[in-house]
Amino acid sequence: MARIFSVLGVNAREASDSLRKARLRTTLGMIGIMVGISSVIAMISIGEIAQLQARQQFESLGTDMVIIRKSFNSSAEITLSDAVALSESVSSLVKAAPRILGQSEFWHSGKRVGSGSIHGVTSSFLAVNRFALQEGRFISDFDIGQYFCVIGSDVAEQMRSNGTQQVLGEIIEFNEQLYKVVGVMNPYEENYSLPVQINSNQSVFIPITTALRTISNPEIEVIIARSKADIHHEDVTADIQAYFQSKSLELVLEIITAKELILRMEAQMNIFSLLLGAVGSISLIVGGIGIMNIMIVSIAERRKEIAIRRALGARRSDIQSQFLIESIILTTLGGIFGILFGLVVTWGICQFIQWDFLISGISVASGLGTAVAAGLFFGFQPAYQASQLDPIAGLQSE
Amino acid sequence: MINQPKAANNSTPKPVMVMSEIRRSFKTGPVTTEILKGVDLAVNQGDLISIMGPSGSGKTTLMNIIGLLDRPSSGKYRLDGREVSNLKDNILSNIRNRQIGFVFQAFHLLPRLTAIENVCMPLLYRGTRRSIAIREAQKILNKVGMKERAHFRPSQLSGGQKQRVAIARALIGVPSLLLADEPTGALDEKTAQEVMTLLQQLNSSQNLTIVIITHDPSVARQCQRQTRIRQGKLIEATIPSFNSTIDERDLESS
Repeated sequence: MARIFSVLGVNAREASDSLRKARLRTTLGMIGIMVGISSVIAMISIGEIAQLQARQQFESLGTDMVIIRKSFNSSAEITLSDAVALSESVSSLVKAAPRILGQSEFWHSGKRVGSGSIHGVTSSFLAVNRFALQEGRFISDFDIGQYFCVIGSDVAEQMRSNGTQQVLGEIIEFNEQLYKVVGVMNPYEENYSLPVQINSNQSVFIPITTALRTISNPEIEVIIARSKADIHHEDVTADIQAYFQSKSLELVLEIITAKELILRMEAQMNIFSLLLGAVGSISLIVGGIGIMNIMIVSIAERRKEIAIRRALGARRSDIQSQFLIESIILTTLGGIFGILFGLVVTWGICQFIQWDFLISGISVASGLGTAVAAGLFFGFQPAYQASQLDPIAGLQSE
Repeated sequence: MINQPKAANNSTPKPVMVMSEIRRSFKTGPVTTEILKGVDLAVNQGDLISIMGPSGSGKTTLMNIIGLLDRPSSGKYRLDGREVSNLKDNILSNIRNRQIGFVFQAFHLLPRLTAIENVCMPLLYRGTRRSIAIREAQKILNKVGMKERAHFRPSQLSGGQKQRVAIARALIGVPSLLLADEPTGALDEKTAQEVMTLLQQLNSSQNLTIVIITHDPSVARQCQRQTRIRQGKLIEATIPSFNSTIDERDLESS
């Protein structure tokens, strides 16, 4: 036992010494591994950060969201009565909010206060989207056919900066009609990973019954719903399909659940990670081959040294461990620099796309592990060759 | 002076190594060349013995076999009473480490290490703590007259100094046998004589068994026992008065 430690000590000392002496070669070898490890680190970190980012978005949104859309090749349309009755008729749904969409500029006291979407909605639209009000009230079920509107925060802000302190009760004009402001929405950060965009801040909301009259070619283009928590997303989809099938056979729907989206996104992330992984692995292999090359050259140059050590009593395994330690030191150093570099790259990418940077423990650990493993793997063959060198031939070589 | 310890030891000659019928052949393609054709050699404790022969005579092959760097094709070789002709590589490494000290013509010091680190090496491969090994190495270096240059690298030493360090390295493990392959071959006449004198002193003062492989008759002459390799066989040739002239003629003809 004592012998093993003593020899390992000798070997570690020898290995680091020889690496220090061959500085250029050591640096080049390290750079190869560094590039490989840093791309592995960056790949794992970015994958992890992206996944976390997406999950956070969905968590704020709720994983129970269901989006029902009329398909492009559908000859029938969703009727208002069917849409309103949806949440009561389909037991797997908790809430449902249909929407009719229009576009317009918004005017107040002869001044333009914004332009954006007109959403014809029911009272459930607020809760389904988890929106909140700044002041006033949202569209209610008793506002049938009324010219009331709830305005987005940007529109309200524009009115205030034009000098209107109290926006509630003001009349604004859009789509050639006058509407009374009954509520103001809280500012809301849009989630672009969803297949339906609301842009609440630049929008106005009016009763869906009013929208049917005032918006040209009105149609319910989407129903946003929430499902019960304990029901599988495929069952929810099937229930909704069955409900609308019973109403109209011509109606073709596209139903997307948040769970499905998450699954789809995760699958995409995995492909992304795999791709990055492949790039990382290739550069790691290239780096590893560089290490192998360096070790082979280093061993060829030191045939005499190996032979002398063998003559003095070094075993084959001692020689092998000496060169293995050398290659492991080389790749581990490269790995450490690679981890640092990889984290810097990750940080840069996060800065660029405005994600929260985090140091992924898994990536650091696996980077270091990979570096050591690369040293072992790519150092093994050269070290084995070194251990098999004939000491007699080595002693005679110059 | 050389024979002084020999006289003290004469009463009980203890065999260090005994070789009998050692053969070694090499295959190059279809041709098998037998280099050693049955070598018999017995070396006793305290012997200072030279093995002479021109290049190509097989003396290097014999040295490799004595030094356990090579195995004989056939024959018996007992070192310190143990049959070693057919041991596993690891055990051979161990025996080289403990029982044989090598001194080479080209010194074969590791250039990256200092003199004292070079001397330490056999002990480190044995599992000795570094601090203890360094202390031992310093003692041995003092003994071979290299006290002042323990921390010099080989490139900063002269040929004679390098060979002293190499001898110290060979001695540190307290070997049964010091095996010197042309120890003076790379040195000028004066330095060569200094190294020879050192070897003789070690032989006489410590009863160290030394085998010197050489082609130089003036080196061989300084050994109390002299042998020659001729046509793959070893011949005892200790003829005190005539050996130098005979040897030189022999070398030319063989």
